[in-house]
Amino acid sequence: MNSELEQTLVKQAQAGDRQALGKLWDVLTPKLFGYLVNVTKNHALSEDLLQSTWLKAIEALPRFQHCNSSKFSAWLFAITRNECKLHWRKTKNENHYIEKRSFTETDANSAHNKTNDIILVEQLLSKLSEDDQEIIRLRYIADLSVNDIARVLNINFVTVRVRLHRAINRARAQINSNS
Amino acid sequence: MNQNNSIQNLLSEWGKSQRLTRNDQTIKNSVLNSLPVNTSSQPPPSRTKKLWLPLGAITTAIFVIVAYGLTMNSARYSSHPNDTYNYSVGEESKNKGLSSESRNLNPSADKKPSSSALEQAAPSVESHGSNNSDDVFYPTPPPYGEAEIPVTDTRQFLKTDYSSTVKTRHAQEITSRIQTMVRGYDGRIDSANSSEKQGYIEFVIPTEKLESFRIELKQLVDARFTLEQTYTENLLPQKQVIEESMESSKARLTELTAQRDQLTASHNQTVASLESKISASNRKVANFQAQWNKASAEERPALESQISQTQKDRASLNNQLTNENNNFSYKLSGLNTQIDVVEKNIKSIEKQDTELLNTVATVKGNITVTGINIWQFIGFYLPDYWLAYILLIAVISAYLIYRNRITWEIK
Repeated sequence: MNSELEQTLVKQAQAGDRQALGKLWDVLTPKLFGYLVNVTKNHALSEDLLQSTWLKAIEALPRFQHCNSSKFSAWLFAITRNECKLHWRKTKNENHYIEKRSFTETDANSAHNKTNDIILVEQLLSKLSEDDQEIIRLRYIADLSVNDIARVLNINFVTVRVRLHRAINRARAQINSNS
Repeated sequence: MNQNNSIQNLLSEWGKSQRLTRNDQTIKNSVLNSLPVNTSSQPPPSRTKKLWLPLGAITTAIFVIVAYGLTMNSARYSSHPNDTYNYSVGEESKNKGLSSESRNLNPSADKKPSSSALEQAAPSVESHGSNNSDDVFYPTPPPYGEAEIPVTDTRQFLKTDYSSTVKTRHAQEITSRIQTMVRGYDGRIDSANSSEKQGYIEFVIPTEKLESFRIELKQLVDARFTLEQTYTENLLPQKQVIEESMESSKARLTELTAQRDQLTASHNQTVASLESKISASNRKVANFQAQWNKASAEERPALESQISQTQKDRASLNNQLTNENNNFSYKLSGLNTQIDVVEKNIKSIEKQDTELLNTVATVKGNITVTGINIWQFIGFYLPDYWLAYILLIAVISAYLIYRNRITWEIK
């Protein structure tokens, strides 16, 4: 979805057009849900967070102002991240967010239908830091631009670019060491 | 490059595979139904409504800074208690002139640097601590003698007065503890009063214990909360005056005693001479009367005439003796009176000497304890502008954070 179409749909949704909102849902929910599942490793929890994210977004939708530096998708992912933090704060399990999850045998078995490349990437990512994983999630699952990632993480876009570059280098180093 | 593209492609494929399509319409419907149906777009809320927090914070900060500034100005009206001043009058300043430090702190010395009398006798002020002339406290210079002191006399009879101002949050407790300290240093408390906000103590302690007392006082309250003034004066001029008075009085006593002895000796000599003459006259009269008894009638008138003449001479001698005794008594009485006065004067001078030595051996001091509020307390640790900067930075940070939240509307 290009920026102009997204902007048009958002304006229509702000005017109360449920159909436009449905189109936004159809486009953005797979990314959001995939991001949430990847973060939480829990489908049920991801569904809850997905619903609360959209409800918060709709509640704040009249106040959203679309501009070049503020895309709806980036805004939605910022809300998603906050919802995750809120959830872990409530469950006093915030450390889970930054806890480095190791790839287990169970994960490998449950991913029997995945291709070898995907399994390989998940193994590589599990060995990266949570910050690196988060940037890669936002870049490749959420499909956000570097500028949007910078807005979501509230850091400079140059920093995002450098971190992303380093994360990919580390992943490549992991591949080389495995081979 | 190929390797870079391959890892990018790998991650892209992985990202796409992670995007999960949900066929369950329940959540979607519930979300879509939550969207209110409006015919027109709701205008975004006014930004000014959201600015109440930073504006309120800025107003509060300005109020706090102004209130703080007013409080600090009133506190600064008195001297800044982070300094120690030693104020001394004596041989050093009189003989060597004022030091540069003293000239900086003594306005009278600055005004008349060429005055020889001032250079010789003006009090010197030594300061320890701040060099900020705005905060300098000028103690009233004591009266000093105009007598020329010989350079060769290097004796010191230092009279020390100690004054201190202590700023604290617990005035009553500190006052009580200082009184205990004074008694601990074999001192005497002349007067003391205390309340929750302030306290005042006048005391006397031995000179040799002053330094220990000051050290303990600084341990009692942080040095930045105390202002010390030590006034030192060399009492050598007074001592010299006493010595000169004593010397002249003793000389006068010796002189008067000698005069009295001389007077007594002279008197005794005169009395003995007169009494001898009177005895000779008596014998002469008796001799004439014996001749008169044996003489004929023609010889008797001549003898009677000689007897009469001799008796007149004797009467004259008796008068001289009486006058001599009277004069002696009068002069002796005068000398004794003068000797008594001189002896009393000597005793008085000895008493003054003892008092001077006692003054040198003790320090008379006073300590004022002043209660301070929390802003003054903070002011001792942070300069005024630092607090303003901190508040300003806090307000700007709060504003930027809040503005960021407004932009994203994330709750």
